[in-house]
Amino acid sequence: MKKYTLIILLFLSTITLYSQVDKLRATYELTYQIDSTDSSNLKTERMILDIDKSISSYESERKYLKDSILKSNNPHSVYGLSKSKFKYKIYKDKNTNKINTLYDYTAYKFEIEEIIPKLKWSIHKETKKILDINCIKATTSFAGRYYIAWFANEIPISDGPYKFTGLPGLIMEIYDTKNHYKHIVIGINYQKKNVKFNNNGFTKISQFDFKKFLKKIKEKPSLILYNPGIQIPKAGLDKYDRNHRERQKHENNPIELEKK
Amino acid sequence: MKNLFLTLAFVFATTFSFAGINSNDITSEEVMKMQCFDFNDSCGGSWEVCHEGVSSGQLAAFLFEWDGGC
Repeated sequence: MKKYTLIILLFLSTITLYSQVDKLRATYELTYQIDSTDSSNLKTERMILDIDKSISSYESERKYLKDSILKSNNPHSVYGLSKSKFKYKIYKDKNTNKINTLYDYTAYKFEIEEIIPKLKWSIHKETKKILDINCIKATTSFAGRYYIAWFANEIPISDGPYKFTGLPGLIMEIYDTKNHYKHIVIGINYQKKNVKFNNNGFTKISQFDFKKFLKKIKEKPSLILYNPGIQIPKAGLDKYDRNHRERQKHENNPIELEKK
Repeated sequence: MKNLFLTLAFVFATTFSFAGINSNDITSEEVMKMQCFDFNDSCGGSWEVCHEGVSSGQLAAFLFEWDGGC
């Protein structure tokens, strides 16, 4: 009896270990230059890449925390958090070969679906260590930028931050040649939680219509605050518009310079 | 028989006395009541915010994004 119990326990622990390897969370530090004309204006945010067997999700840590608190029993404790510049969550699904990006603009929630881009990677001989893991250099171009990436063969997961994928190992570091967007991994943890695609409340929209929406909120940023059930003084909305228009003057450097 | 008659009379009287009141009105009146409070934004401003028929999550998401325009 003891023998059988041991065999069953060994079997179960093997299954658990195997499933843990499939799921991991890579945390990246993203350094970005929001104004292409001002290299001294660099900002950083932590980004989270959660990887499951065939699906992964990528979003800013601030957005992840905000969404978690808003769903909790005490949503008003959200006020202590810093706002993220990145209002999206990107799902990559290898089974469907699709990327679904969910944009959350408070009153407007949109989903854009696209095919996972087939990046043409060149793998080079150079190696270096990141987090004490051997990494190999690779280069590619995507959406108007040339990129240098360092991937880990030891972690045979073909994924990476943002929409980057297609290498034989996890992308540990990736930056464009102008250094406007640089992701570097700062932690890797095995996860037990599955990545579940959840687009409840999001409306599918074309890239063309989404661009029109972005143009509208550039003219009047407070449109995203539309809620007939909430009343605030007009001066409060005007101040929001004024400050956001001023900030937008310096935000001219998106990660994707060219859209199909 | 007398008891049965009294019971029926009570049931009818109760039913007709409430017939003129729309139960939806009572519910909506209670739920849709406008509530106001002072919201302190992160740059030292204070604003009167009123809301009705929105969840605490929606309200918190709105105030977090707006933050008095800071």
